[in-house]
Amino acid sequence: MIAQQILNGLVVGAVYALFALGFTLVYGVQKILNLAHGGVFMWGALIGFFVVTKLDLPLWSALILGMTGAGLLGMGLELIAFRHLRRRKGDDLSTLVSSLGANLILVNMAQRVTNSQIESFPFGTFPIRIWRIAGIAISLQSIVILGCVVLLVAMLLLYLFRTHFGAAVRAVAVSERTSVFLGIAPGTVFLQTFFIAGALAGAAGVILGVAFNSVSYDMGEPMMLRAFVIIVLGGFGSVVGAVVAGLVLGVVQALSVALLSSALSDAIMFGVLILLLLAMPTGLFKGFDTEARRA
Amino acid sequence: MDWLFAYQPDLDAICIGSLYALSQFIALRAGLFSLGSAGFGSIGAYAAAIVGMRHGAPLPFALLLAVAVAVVSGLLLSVPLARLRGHFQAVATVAFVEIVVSLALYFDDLTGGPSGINGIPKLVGTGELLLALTGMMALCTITERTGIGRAFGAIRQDDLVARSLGISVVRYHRLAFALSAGIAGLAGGLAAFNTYTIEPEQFGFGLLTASLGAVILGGRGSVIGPVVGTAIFVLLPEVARPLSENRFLLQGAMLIVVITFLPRGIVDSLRDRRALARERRDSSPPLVAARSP
Amino acid sequence: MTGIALDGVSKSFGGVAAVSELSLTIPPAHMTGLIGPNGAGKTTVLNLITGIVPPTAGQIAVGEQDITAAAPETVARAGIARTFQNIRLLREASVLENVMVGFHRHEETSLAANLLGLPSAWRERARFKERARTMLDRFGMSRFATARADSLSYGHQRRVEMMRAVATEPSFILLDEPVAGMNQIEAEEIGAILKTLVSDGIGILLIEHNVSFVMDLCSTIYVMNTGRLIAAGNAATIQRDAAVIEAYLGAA
Repeated sequence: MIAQQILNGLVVGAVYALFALGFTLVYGVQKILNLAHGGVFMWGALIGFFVVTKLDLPLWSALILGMTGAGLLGMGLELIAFRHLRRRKGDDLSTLVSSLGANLILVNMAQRVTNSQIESFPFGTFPIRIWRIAGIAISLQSIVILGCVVLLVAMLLLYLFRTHFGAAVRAVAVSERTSVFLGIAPGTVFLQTFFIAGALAGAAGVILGVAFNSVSYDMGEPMMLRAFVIIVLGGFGSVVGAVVAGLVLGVVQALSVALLSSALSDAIMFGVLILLLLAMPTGLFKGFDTEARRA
Repeated sequence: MDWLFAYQPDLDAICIGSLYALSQFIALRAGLFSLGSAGFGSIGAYAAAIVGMRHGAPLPFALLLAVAVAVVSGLLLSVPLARLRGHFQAVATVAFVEIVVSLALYFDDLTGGPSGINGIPKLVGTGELLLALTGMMALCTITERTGIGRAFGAIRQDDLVARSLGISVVRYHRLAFALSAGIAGLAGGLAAFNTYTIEPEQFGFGLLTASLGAVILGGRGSVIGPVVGTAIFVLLPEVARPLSENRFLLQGAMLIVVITFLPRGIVDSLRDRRALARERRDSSPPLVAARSP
Repeated sequence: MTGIALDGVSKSFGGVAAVSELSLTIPPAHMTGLIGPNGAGKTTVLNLITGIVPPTAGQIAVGEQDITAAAPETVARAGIARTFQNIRLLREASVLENVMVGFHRHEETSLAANLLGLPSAWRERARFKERARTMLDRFGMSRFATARADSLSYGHQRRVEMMRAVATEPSFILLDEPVAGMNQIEAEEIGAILKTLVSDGIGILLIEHNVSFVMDLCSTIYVMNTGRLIAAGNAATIQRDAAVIEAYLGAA
């Protein structure tokens, strides 16, 4: 029973990690807390939903298109909400406010498009197949989800630590000013970062939308809370930390829902967040600028 | 006079919104990166509604309780959060808002769950709201002009300097949490008895954005700013039907535009311009007159 | 009051030893100088005393009170004030307001009185304003009372920082390069003011690059190089010290 919860928790946690990865990446590279990240996530799910229901395309294409759409939205955020502020050297509050404004727009557009309804995928969108191994039920969906997350995280790490573009991203994370001298255009890097962050959030959106069979304009809000806990536990800006913390959070949540109640699980998460902020506000892992140097 | 009645709901909305904005304003004045006003508003609203509806308490008591419970919550929250700075503090307070929404949704025996508490008698009218708003504006102004304001200002502008002068940042952040929470709690309590219904989600991200937005739009330098910002948010959509149908899109766009191009907000920017013009007129040496920071 | 005493204080950042086994005393009613080439660790000493960084070894005390690794507020309340190398004023506030913040330590009005706007709060504000004006007169800054702090010249900003430090009615003031960027006349004016502070009983630690300024004013001078104390004594002794000459060889 516990083992089942742990497995379920790992699967959900993996998706939380995917969501938090984008959030923490943007913070690590640009020091921006993008509160519109939830809105982008939600739009990824929405795009995926429309692809399946309106365009009648298969689920895997919904994932691709959802990711792409969300990635483009992310780039839009950078261009509209953050680029000018950076030129003016806005303070912490400015970027926060701008991201809140952007989120308001995103959520509201979604609300009108869906008429404030909660949408569900049609029955049979994802085949139901369950195996039993050692008393634990493992569904095809869980396997596919884990597979997707592993694939995406691997691609991200490959990109960041093995490609030329990734090197530029890491350089900017360490020092924007110096990287200019190295011939790197920070602007391009920022666009890339936001695209990736958006795409990852979009993937998380489609996956969760299908897994819980619910897509609604406000699904981004509760996700942000999880992203906060993950970013604090894992370390602000740490890629590795986001993955580890995401999995941990997923398991902790699953266990607390099973053993206590789902009402308390949010409160527990908040309690954990507060404890973390008091005990180790810098998180388990050092930020991305340190990770970036280590490669 | 009918014309005035037609606008009464707007006036009420401006008063309540301004109170939330003032709650946000006082936190920012103290250099507190707290965005938790919506959460304290929820606590105040539910406290007042529950004790008023379920236990028949009179309005003054309900409002007092709303403020008291909110202040206590603020002080409790300040214990872990007063030590944090910048983004850490912001994240924690946003999380706090989310948690309050969650808790209100789940403990439905107490709060009525997703449908909230309905049929609350409208005991609070425009007169009471104006009184409350004036009172809170006075409180914020007094705070600003006395030793508390001097300490807040020092902490806000240079935290390290404040500490090296013997100012305890933790102590003043606690105070700021309490003040901010109390004002928001009052706003929530008043709103409960003015708008018939309260439900958890009206105290979420939307209210957070609106209160912060009002302060940014209006200006962070004086108590007039938050009120002006709120008034614009409430009244501008009324100007034309297309604006009204897209009021949240408008709000979001305004936030981005204002923070990018008019970061000091409307009231402060106007004051700057007037001060600059005054200097150009004077023939005395080019000293820049200090504006309230 | 025996003064501020550092005993065997060391501070390392990562692998770098910024200060190594430093012992010195800052007595009341005297001016003590701390000089040394760039990177000698002088500002670190200041930060160690004022609690901005904790020492990795050693003890710091003021009188009977141990302030090793104490928080900045605690050090301030123990009667130690300071100025900063990169001037740190409240940039948007007026000169008068900047000085008034310095009086915070001596506020008598209660929190409640402040919140309610009771007469005692306004009386205190008026009192502080008066005292701030007196301070401005003393430092020759009266005409800048309502000017915005960041509109002043460098030299004037330094004076404001000094006034703020004096406003706390400290027993000791630690000055980090107070006459940097000033011409000879301005520096002399500051020197005169510092002498009056000393005769009021305040103990001053003067960190400066302007070596002649230090030699003229300080009764005891400590010389640091690469985190260590290489000499201590009066001006005459220091000027003849071989280690000091070597440390400064080639420096302006």
